[in-house]
Amino acid sequence: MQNRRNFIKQTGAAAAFVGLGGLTLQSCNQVKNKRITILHTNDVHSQIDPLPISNTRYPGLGGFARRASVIHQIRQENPNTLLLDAGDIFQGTPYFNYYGGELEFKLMSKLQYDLATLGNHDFDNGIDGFLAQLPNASFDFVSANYDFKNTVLDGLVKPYKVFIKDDIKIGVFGLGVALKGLVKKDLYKETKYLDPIELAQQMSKTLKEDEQCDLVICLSHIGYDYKNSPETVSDLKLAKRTKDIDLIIGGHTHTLLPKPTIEKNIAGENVLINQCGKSGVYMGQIDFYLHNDGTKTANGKSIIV
Amino acid sequence: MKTHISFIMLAVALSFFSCKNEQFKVEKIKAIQVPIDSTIAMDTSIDDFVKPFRENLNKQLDSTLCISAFSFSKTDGALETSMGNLMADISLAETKEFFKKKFGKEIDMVLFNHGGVRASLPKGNISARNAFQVMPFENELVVTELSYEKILELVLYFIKEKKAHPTAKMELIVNKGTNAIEHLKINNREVVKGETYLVLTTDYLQDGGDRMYFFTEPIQLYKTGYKLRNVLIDNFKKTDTLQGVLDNRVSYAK
Repeated sequence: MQNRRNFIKQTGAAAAFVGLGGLTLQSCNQVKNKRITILHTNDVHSQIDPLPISNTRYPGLGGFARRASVIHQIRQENPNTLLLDAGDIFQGTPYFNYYGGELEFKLMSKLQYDLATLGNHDFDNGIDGFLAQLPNASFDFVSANYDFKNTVLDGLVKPYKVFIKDDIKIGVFGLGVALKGLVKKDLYKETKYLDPIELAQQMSKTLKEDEQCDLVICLSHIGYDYKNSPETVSDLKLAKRTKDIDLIIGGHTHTLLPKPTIEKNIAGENVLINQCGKSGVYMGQIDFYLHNDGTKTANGKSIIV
Repeated sequence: MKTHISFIMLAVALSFFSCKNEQFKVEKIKAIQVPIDSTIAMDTSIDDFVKPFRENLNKQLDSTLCISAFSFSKTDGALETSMGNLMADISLAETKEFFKKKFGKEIDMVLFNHGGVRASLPKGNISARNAFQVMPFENELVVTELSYEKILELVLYFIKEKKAHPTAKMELIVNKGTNAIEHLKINNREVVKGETYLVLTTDYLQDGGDRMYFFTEPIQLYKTGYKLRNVLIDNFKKTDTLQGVLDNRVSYAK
């Protein structure tokens, strides 16, 4: 269906070009339309099976086996898909207490997660407990504002990762929440928490200018918004004080946004923020439609949420 | 003609440029939240993978650790409950010997919060699943050394709250009308100015949880590294039959 639509668009645009001067003989000059799909979860909290029907908030929702079916179907429709998790993979059901996160990482690998960031609860068995489970994860972890230099995770968690899907460069960086007061020091040890906004500004510059990414995504576990604590850094603040970030995928506050929030960044451009509650009850799906037609204005970006 | 050629050359040059640095711009974004509900068929290969983990877990969670001869409740008393007393007594029993051995001191009393008791125990078979229901959180036991002044704050908090916060080794009789303390002993000791008292609680409460601020700056803080849930499970394993206790350890004056 999508391919057909693209085909029609392409041929239409090509015809217009022929009329202008026959430049379409250069194959690379053709107008191309591409679609990148971003799937995301957050705060799954060891919810391997669906929540019980007795759950007051999300009765019977979630579960890895169902999520796998949905992901498979979406990937079949569009292979140019990235699957991301915004942290707090661990803690919440006895699966974690008994298996220490082994099952969570193994299942995420089977579902072919591409990347995740660390939430505060991912330190619940200590930084060593996290390291012990890393061999079970076929996907990487990123965090730009946790400095792991003096910890066992040194070199294992990078600030960002760049993916190329259908020649589109997608840069994804991670952000974590302040650990002091939230996690015991003996668990996170010498992990240093750095200012998320400062690091996000650095990261977006690196990804946009040095890495020449077409899309920049922030995988954040700092929380959506803190109404009772306006000083606390959040995804909403992050969006307003940075630029060149297309999408912030959030976590930590277990916020179920009915639809993604659109915020203006420091340059007056739109930033999308999304978060999907908790326990894997919902999965976010964001489709980016891109084109290389320079004759269209960049301001024409439309967001359908 | 000449202008036409140069136009084409420019266009070709431009097209080479754009070919190398093909700039893709976002034209449109569509977003939806996909509900993961019962209308979606399970991926059977994933469910088959989970199955042995689930079965093993359920076996461990549901195997009987001890028998309860009593239907424990969180609401069967004004200032004490059978469920609260059980948690406080078990916690003290499981930590006092270890604490004495390690620090050479005796724990004087226990205080938890009523809201932290998330379920009660039924009469009959008791399993680790019950312990997870009673204590779903990862709270660890800590011992705080409190001054006489902080102990008074603790007692006043307890009286003001009028809630059956779980306690052990604190004898308290309160005048319901005036809120006056008619009797107070901690670990069979009078509460005396200048003395200090060792109170067993959780790291959550020690951090000021449930507004128990008297815990936040103790003279000394001892960590046990022992999770409250594991304390319950270990005790259930050792116990044959759980008995309910309501002994008026904390009460209103008659």
